[in-house]
Amino acid sequence: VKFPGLLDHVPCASALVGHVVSPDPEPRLHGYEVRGDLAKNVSFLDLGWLALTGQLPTDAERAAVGRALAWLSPMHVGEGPAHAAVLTRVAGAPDAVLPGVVGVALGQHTAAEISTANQLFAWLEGREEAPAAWVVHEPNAADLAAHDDLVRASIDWFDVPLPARPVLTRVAGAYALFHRLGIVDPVRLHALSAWARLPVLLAEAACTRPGSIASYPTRLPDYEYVEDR
Amino acid sequence: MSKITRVGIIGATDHRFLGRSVFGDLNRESTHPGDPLVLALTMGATLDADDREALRLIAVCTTSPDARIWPLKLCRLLASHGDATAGFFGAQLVAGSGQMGPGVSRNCAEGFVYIAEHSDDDAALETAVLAWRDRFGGRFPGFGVALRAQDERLLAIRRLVAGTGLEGRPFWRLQARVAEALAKHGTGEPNVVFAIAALLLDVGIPAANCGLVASTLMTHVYLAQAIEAARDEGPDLHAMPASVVDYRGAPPRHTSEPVDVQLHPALHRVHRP
Repeated sequence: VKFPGLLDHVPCASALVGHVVSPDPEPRLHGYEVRGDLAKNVSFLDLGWLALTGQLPTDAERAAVGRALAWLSPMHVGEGPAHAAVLTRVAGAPDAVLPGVVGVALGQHTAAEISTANQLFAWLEGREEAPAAWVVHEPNAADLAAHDDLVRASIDWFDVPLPARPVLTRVAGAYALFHRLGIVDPVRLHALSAWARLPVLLAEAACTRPGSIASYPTRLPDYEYVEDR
Repeated sequence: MSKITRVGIIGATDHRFLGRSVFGDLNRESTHPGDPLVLALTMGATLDADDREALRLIAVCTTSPDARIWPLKLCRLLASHGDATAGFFGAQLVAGSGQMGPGVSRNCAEGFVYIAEHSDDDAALETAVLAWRDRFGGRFPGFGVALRAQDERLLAIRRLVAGTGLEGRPFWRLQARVAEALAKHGTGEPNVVFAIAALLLDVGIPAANCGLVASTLMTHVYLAQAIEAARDEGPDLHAMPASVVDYRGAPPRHTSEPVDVQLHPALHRVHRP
């Protein structure tokens, strides 16, 4: 028996709307043929930037986004998304869900970063103080060298370079570059974070044997169960 | 482009779900908040009292809620930024594991079905059991108990099934014979998955769905962890100190000086161009 439904007669669109990749047999990315043009003539970094902005990068943009992604990429196994990647493997998850679980962890982590980044962006626009959590309050020589080098490079990349002080953390430096590159919306910041970090996180997962519970620090952190009487 | 579904539809004054009107039939049949979920788990099957008892036993006896158990710690980790939904649903993606946890119920149940079809006598049963065991690398799905000698959940279910209408059901009787056959070959101890697979097959759940159904019956454990973690977890879980990391990767090196280093075998390529 067929039952009529409320949605049977609701006016609705008849096609999926796409804006990035054409559904042609020879797909194009924002109009550029992939195999015949992009793959031969530009780097994968250029292609990613093209995907997110619709334009191929200038030399300055290429250098800046490459620097930002590199600064953002490392996450050690004690950090949430990398820990989640390892735990997913330890729990014996199917390979097919691994990127999804890691993506959830990274999405949560990046969302928290973006809430701080909004403060950073306001500071870069002269509206607020720099977020304290993203400032290195007692920088060592490596912090100073990396930050000063980034500031110097930003003079060549942008009309308005990054402020010389305070010294920013590695993650803050990356987000400051995204701001100067004109990307401050959450979805594309998530995309940049995933682009930078997913290979690193999945590599950590690859180095973890599925089901390896014996070598995983189960009691880190430890929990004690209590009941209220 | 129109396709057939037998799950349901939204109507103007009532909805249909798995062969029932929602506000009429489903409302009348549901005496417990979990009833619509059970209806979905069985894709609309009508359950008798023993079937419902089997599902109840699985849900109760698989309540293993220790926050340090790996999928549950993952649940807490994913929820630790304050989003219980991310923890609850995200962590349960691991439930499809064919290696450990409730997802193994599928491989175990498929084994029971295979054995049932190839067990005219005890010798044939043993041959079928060993064939299924060998298909999974020498460990029958549902065998293997970590951290203790026996799985207390399995023992509890067996105790609670004894003397009930579940005891005489075909796959319940078969799992006991399979366990006996495996015991002769010294392949360790069965875990709770063994009981789950048999109980679900006797309810009429297709073997292919047993992992999902078993996982779904355990969701309450994830739910409580996710709710607590979203409320209580925080920075200490987001970034553990370097002092608790045992880094075993490449030593410091520089791009200006190519050097060979020992890398984890998982990073090796099958060949280098």
